[in-house]
Amino acid sequence: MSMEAALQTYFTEAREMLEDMEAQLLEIEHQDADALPETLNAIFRAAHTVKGSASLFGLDGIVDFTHVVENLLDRMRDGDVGVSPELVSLLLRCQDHIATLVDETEADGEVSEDSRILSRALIVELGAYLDEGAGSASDTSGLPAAGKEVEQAHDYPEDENDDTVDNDCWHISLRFGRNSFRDGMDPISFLRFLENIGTVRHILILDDWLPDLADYDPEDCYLGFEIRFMSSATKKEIEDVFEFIREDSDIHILAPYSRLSDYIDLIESMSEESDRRIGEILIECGALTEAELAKALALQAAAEEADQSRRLGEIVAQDDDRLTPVVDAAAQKQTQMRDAINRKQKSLRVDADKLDHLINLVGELVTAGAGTFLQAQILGNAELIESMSKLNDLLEEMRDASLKLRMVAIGATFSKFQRVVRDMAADLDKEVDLAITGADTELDKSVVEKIGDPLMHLVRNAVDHGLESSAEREAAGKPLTGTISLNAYHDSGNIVIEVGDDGRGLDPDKILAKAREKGLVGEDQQLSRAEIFDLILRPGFSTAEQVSNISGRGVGMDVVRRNVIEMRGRTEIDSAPGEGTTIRIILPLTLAIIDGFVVGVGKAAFVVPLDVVQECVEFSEVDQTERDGQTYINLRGNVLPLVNIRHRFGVQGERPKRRSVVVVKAEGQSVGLVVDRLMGEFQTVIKPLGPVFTGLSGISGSTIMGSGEVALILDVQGLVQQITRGERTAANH
Amino acid sequence: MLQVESRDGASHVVLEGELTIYQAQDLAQQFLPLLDKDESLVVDLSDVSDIDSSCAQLLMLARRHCQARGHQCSLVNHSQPVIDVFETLGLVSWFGDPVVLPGEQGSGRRTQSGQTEGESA
Repeated sequence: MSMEAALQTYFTEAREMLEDMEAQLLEIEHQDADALPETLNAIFRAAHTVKGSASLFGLDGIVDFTHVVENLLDRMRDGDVGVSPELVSLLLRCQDHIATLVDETEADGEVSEDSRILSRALIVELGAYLDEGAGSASDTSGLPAAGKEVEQAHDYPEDENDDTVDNDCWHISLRFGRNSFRDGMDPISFLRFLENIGTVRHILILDDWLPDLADYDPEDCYLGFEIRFMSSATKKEIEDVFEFIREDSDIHILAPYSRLSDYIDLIESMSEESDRRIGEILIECGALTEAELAKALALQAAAEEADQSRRLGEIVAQDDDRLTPVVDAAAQKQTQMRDAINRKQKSLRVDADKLDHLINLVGELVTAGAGTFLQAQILGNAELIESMSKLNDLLEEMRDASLKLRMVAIGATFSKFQRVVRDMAADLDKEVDLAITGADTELDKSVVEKIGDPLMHLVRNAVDHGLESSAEREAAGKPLTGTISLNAYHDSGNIVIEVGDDGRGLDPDKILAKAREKGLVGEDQQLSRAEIFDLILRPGFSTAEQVSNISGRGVGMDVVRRNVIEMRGRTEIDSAPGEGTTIRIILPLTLAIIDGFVVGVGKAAFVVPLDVVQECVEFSEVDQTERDGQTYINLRGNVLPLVNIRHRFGVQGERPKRRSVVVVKAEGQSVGLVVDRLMGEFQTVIKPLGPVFTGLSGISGSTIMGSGEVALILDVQGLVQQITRGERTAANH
Repeated sequence: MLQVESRDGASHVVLEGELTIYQAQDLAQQFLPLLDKDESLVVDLSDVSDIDSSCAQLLMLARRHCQARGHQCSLVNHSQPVIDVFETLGLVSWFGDPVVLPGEQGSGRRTQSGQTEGESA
């Protein structure tokens, strides 16, 4: 395996490990004491593997940070540090951060400056817990008491705790260029601008370069500044403040919690000033403590003695020969762990493109098979027909099997929301449970990928707006803990995904009033309950009285609607005031191939998806009754609305004496399709209609029959919807 | 731009109007010769309507020059624009002259920054 390929495997594995780690972290809070050690072990192992493998590849950015996390986990495993919700939140953030580090390393080969800063900030937070543990343990170095050889190998170069300066501010050193005044660059404007992105905690003006009277030119700038700057801005944003003077001036920006070695670099880079003087300035301005400066200068002196260009970590690592065998042992142990992981993996990774190609080929094969079968029937050769039908059976199985390759359970997508709900509940100070059902419902991978965003909006909205605050719930006599439910199931060739809450429910009157106010609905327009609920998915509509930072800006819900429509799906909303809201996303399985039932009208052929077909009955015009332009027949005592395909699609040609009704069922509603001929089952490869036909209702695609003719695939859901809507309109009149 | 009056063995200088890079050259020509008089200097800033870094730097030079010769160079009656600029540049603590805080509006902010200076000094 080449280095590049091995690295690729590492990134994939690391992500899996991190997902695992997240799942286990989320479990911790709900676990009883017995199971806890095992979970902590699993989390520790995940972090350890991520770090261990990263160190094999020399990915220092990941190793440095993960090492500290691992230390803390080890402490927790030993029981030195207790589990608390705050700690779990911190670890979750760390887990997110490691994932970011992995992503950045894969994309750019290194960790970005912003991430380094975040690493340091998180390490400080972790340090607080490590210190807490150190108090109870005999070991006071802030490192695990269970000092394994493996750990020690990394302690020298990686341990940032001792090396990080305890300064939560940016440090900015400015030496303005001589010509700054002449160029119109007054330091005041930059310093004032700096206040826009943060707070200047302390500013020290330097007079070191002010000349004697004789050499003084009033238009020269001799000023320098050392600034302690409190800000959440990125380094780039701070640099941008000084963009115009970058060329002529000397600007150094150090991040909060920079390493001592960075300060050493700063001291060294100020070549015109003596090191001691710079050090004093740094102390005066509060960037370093005296002890830190002493340490920095000592380190610097030592480094100069050893080799001027070498940095701190390298010096320790290279000078200590004792480390070599320990490092070897560490590498070996990591290899063993990797082997174990490889054995555990029974799945195979396949490029999604290859899979798509296979499915396309199978689709073509099925079409070709159907064509050949037709030819065999025309020839009338019994043996050929028999072998063709056998071949077709196999093709069918192959089609099913290859489509299953793309199917994945929705469970993984659902369980991501555990974290979202947990974090949001904490933010909003609500108690929320997430109930997941139908996690093993399978759907096409491409759908799973696209459904994530809409679901995220719906879940966030449900937690933020759907659920009441604990106080309101108590007043309403509901359980304090709200429930968000995620459910998925198959329904006649569709997949239905439900996001529900047991919150306050939607108020149709309020929504309608708001919609009228915003001009989305005319004053005298009457809407059904379902249509009113549907308004909440319109662009620019938000019923939230207060815009919170989580949702309520009126963007988002319309994104849901748009994404779902893009996937050929639709949405439904059920709600009862005081009981909650359920938003249903109904999507086609997006199978490239469906089992179709072919019907003929005039000379045209139409395909009805077989799984919605209930039965076929003979049609007689005598039984038909008409009301408000809609025809019905009596089907065994039930009213069956009819759609006359001939009329609906304006098919020309002679009307035959005998006609049939294909009874189809969708959305719990049965509808009869009146057709001329029944032509039997047919495996259909769906070809999407061109962009010209996107506005066409009642047709979901086209297909090429074995004979080479084009047949249109009926959008049964759409037809049924039109009927039910028609009934409602009629009822409103 | 400036008026000079000699009394009690010290030069009393009153600076007026805008003191920016456009006036820096002229100000230097009129102001710096006063430093050669070998006596203490009191600079009244009450009528300064605007000051920028170049002229602030001139005052720094004057202060340092006087101190090197064992004379006083005190800045008095800072006007509001001067206080604002001095605070931004960190010059309030550099000069260390008592700054009379204006009452009422904005006094809270100044007290606060005054404290910061006090801590670091």
